[in-house]
Amino acid sequence: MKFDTIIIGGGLSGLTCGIALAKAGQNVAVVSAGQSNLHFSSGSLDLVGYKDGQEVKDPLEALGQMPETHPYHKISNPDILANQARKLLEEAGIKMEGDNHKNHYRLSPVGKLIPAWLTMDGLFTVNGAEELKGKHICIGNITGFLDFPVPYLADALRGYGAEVELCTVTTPLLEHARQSPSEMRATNIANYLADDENVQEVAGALKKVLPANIDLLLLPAVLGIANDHAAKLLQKLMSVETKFIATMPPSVPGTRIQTLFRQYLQKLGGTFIPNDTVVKGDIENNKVVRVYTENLVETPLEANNFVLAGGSFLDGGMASNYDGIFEPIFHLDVDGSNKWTDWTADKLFDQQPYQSYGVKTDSLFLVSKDTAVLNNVYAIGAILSGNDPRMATSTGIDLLTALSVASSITNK
Amino acid sequence: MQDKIQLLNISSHDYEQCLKCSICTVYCPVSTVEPEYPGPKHAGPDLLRYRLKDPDFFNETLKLCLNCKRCEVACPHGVKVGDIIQAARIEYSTHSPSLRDRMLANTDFVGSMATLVAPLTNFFLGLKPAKVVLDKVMKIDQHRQFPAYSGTKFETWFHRHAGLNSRTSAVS
Repeated sequence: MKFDTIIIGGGLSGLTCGIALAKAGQNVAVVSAGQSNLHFSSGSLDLVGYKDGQEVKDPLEALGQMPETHPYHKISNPDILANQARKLLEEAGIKMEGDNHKNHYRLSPVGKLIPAWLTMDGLFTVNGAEELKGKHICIGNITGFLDFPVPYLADALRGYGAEVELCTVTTPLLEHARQSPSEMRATNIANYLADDENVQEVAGALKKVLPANIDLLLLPAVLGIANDHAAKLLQKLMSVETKFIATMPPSVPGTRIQTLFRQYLQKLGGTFIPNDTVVKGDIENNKVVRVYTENLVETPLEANNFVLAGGSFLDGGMASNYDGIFEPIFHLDVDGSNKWTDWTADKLFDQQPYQSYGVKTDSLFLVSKDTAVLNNVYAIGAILSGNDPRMATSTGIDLLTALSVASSITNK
Repeated sequence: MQDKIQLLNISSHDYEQCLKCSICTVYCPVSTVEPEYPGPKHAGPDLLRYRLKDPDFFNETLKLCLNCKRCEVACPHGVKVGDIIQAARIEYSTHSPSLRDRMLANTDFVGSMATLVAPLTNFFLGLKPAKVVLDKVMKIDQHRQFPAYSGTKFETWFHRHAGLNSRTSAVS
């Protein structure tokens, strides 16, 4: 099977790169071992959240001040790529709000205000904690839904000066779902509430228990697994302003992003190969000419260019054993220590060295093997070395490196 | 040395790879409509750990799993969730096949019998009272629509036509 570009990894970075290349007319294939980390996403995306432990106000500005080892250092046109990313999200049907030069705050499931660049439309955001002072908020929950820690949220919001009341709601359908305490998850609720009449039932039940004089109703993000229809409908039915807060995983907003992005890739003619893992490849004259997957035993995949978007250690893009760290498909040059005693710091919230490990790339994100550059193999996203998750740059790295590499490939 | 350690770590159906991420639960079609079903994560790798200690932890709600494999396709770490559940049913279930189970499992035999009197079979399977009887007696839901049986078995048809079209070969 021959393609123009094969992308190894079907998460945020792989799909973004695939979409950009497909839009430019390329015949692309994305090979993915399983569903991605987007299923744990809050529904927000970051360019830069924190620098030296401090919250960042202007993410684009902070992006230009990254250390030399950080992937952003190789991005020469972040403003253009940031806008390109926003456009792709919109075209895929994912409505996001945000300002490239001004982070807003999203609310975490336990009530912390966290800087964010783009947040999915409908999710609760503020520009500053002051906006919460004196606000009459009701936090609503579905009876029996355990992945939404209401007491933590209420305490946190009260700490910001809001007046908070609580209410829970249920309907016969949701009571039926509640029979299984372990399976009453956000995504299952979203599926139960996919039909309009079920949403209307919830709205009716909410209106009965809603306290008077409420400025804002906050609900868990349990509506809209494949599009924003159910969430918008509920917002319309409630007379008070209604916003949603990300829940514990599995994430409905995250699942929506993954679904819509994958569908957009396929709409553009891209091939999505799920539940398959690239196991090795053939290298000739400093180029990868074909790769082999677990399932396609007799059919190697050939392409002019390859993009490694397989993620870090958790996702299988990077691997480790008692001998050290390595990249499992081609055994590429990596940045990081082979001594396991170097991998972690004693205190959990200190910088953990292994989180910055990854594949070594040059200024064009090209990889190398035994110091020789493979001039048709790029790496993007979490597989790249130099990231520190405490800076909240991970999704930005996914998007910007994906688009940067897509541009390099189409301009070749 | 590390090869030996890695070998010892291989678990049946890769259940040790399970991170409890719940992505399988997101894509399970049964989980979205039937709360009786414990869900792929719980019925599979979660309960497997208990079942390895004590077979009493098996229960028949695992039969609600369709083995559609959507959980396995979705799993980021290659856990064979569907296989774990089916293996548990094979090992621990005390349910023996009823007449209904045998009829639905032996489609070749039932199909051959039904084909002999296909028009009659199709007519009766379409009647509402017949469906109600099938529902009450054999627990085949009356809302189900049976595909129509043909008067000829496929094998008979194929042998008849393969001879005629012997010039055209299959895809090379």
